[in-house]
Amino acid sequence: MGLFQKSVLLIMVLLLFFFVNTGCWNRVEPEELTLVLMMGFEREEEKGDMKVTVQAANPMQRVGEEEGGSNSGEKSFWVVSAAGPTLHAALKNLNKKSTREINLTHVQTLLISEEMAREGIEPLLDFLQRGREPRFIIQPMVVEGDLARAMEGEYEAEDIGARALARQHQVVLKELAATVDYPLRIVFNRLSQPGCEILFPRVKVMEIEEDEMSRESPLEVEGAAAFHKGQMVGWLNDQETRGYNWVINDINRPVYIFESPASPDKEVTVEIFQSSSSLEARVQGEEIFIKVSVIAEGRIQETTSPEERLTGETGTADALNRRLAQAVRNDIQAALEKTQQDLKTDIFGFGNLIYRTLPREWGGLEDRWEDIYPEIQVEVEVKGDVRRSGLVKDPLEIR
Amino acid sequence: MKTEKIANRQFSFILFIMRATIPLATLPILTASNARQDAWASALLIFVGTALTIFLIVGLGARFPGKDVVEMSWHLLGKIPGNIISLVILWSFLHMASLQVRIYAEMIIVGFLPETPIIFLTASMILVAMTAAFSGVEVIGRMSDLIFFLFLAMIFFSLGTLFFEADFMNLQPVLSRGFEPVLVGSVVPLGMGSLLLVAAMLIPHLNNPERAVNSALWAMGGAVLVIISTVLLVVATLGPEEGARVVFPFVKAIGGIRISEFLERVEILAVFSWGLGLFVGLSTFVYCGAKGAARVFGLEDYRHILLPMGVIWVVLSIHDFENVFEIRSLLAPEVMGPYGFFLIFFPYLFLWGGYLIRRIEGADHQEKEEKR
Repeated sequence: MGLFQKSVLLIMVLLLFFFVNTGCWNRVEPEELTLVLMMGFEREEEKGDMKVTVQAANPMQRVGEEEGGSNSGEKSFWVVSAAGPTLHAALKNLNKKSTREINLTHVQTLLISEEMAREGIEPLLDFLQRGREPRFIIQPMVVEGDLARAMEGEYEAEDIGARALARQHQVVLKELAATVDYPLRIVFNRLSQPGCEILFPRVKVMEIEEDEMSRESPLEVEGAAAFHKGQMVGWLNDQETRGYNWVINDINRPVYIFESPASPDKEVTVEIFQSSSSLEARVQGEEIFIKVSVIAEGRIQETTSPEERLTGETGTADALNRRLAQAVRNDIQAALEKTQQDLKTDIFGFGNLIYRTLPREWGGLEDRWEDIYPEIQVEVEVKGDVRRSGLVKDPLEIR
Repeated sequence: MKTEKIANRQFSFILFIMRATIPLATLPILTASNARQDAWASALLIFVGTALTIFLIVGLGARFPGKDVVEMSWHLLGKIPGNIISLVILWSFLHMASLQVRIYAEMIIVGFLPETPIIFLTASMILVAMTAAFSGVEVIGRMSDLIFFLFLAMIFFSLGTLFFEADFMNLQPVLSRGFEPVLVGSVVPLGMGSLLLVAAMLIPHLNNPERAVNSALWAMGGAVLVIISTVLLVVATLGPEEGARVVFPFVKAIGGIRISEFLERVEILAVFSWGLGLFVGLSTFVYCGAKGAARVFGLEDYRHILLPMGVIWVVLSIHDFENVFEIRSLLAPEVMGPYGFFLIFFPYLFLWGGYLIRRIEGADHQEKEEKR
């Protein structure tokens, strides 16, 4: 091949690249998409169809902001809903009302109405797994109150309700341990394994008065919805949720307030910074024992008692440790009582613990697990350890 | 014509990439069997099985360092039986390559570009592989030098991201279902081990053919290590049941984690490394296929039949499977196992048989000569 032919070939190849570079059949420009950030699922009342509400970012508003335009009263997000016999059909029907293609790749949060959750979440699951667009990082939550209002919720300090709710969930999880962290990846894993149930975070729709001066957050994240075989059976409050988080060793920084050992009418506030817990199962004939061992390390963050003097010799540190341990134990007991006596659902995955560590015993228990679970003996062992006292040694004494 | 040469290192890299790519992408040890959380044990069995295959294929090849498998079969079995044996081996190149490119294209279509015609994807993959094959084995070798490190870096990074979200409790209970599912789990990857037949074509091009077994073993060791760590981490992030239900577990696992608000959706790493690995694998298949076919039909230069063979490859990649369910049934242990084992053992039983008979005869011959 001569030089001439070679260069002609090269130019042809380069020209070919121009065609290829503009994209394949699936070229989609970002401005042709409606980027959905939050989805809400409920049952339509008349026909019992699936009703989908989505919250999508409103691109027009974003452009206006960048140009320095003041708040034109336009919302930075857009809420729309549609119904259909199946989830996918309902989502397709959304396109009737949208000017752009509905795209689900950026969904962060999934809200489910309480009625839908109690009826069973099974019809939702297949779509979320099979589809190309929804991702396993989506966090599902159950709404207590009106789903439509939750989808419309506007926050004072955030542009977009969906992002606000996703952040709120993370903050509550980290600072209070009063909700659960259950992205779809973990939901599917737990649903597919024997002997464990799931929890979704609970979102409460707050009653806000139409008073401009006192705008609060429209939604609160607190507690969790407990499921049994894919059907919601009840709520856990924030104490029980904290107890749950202790058992599964997923706790961040909750605070505990208890009586000061030095002066009984005053209080000490301890924040947990380090913690660990482990589970152990033992089967003896028909009796099943679960041992929960927890180590909670805290710091004194506040005390109202001027007599709180901590030295290596005084018994105060021991007393503080005991009280902290008791406070943590109360949370765990509350969670255990609620699920064993009231809801009868194994959200802790004790059955799964037996399946994992004692697979031989599990074979005989699996079919009867629902009846056995409320009867399990759970031993809770908590070791409290208050190690630090913040930036001062002793409380201030006013003279 | 001077024979092109590649270093043993490059030979190792090529085999490593080929062996690691497909099991990584579809994780048949997890998806095609019942081993679930014990899939890592199947991966250990794969190492043992593959090592045996290497001794079978590369071990014989190393005894005839200057001959590829077609010449070797002529030498050992005679012209016509040798050609028949060679056609079986060539068929395995053809079929494995079209299977691999089809699976990759399916993944792209299911996961990323739902409307792109599948022939566009398979044809463009095969076209670039043909370009590489046209340039010869030295180019493929140098390419594997380059891609090996990229491939490894991307695999490491994606496994690293999985590590932070992994919950190793998902791996319990260990071996609670006994060894049978573990054995079944290793069948499909071992059947796919017929890709090692390319080594039989590459041996005459090695710098140091006597050490070919050694190089191939290193490559397999590395590949099995990658497969084990992948299957462990995928099971630990997705869970055993979920991991087995998903079509492309590795891609799904990486897409399903979130390391921080800024670092998520990194599955492009898995797709990209798979694409690069597939490119090396396909180029080698195409090269070996064309080279072997040229040899069987007595052509001087394999480059003349590269283009028509490429067309056959593209057509096969489309028409081999009507739909994804057929791929699924081919990858079932009861189909892929016997099929893959046939492709490996049928030719090599005869070749080894021929070799041993010649040894004994040769020994007799020598004795006779000495007596004279």
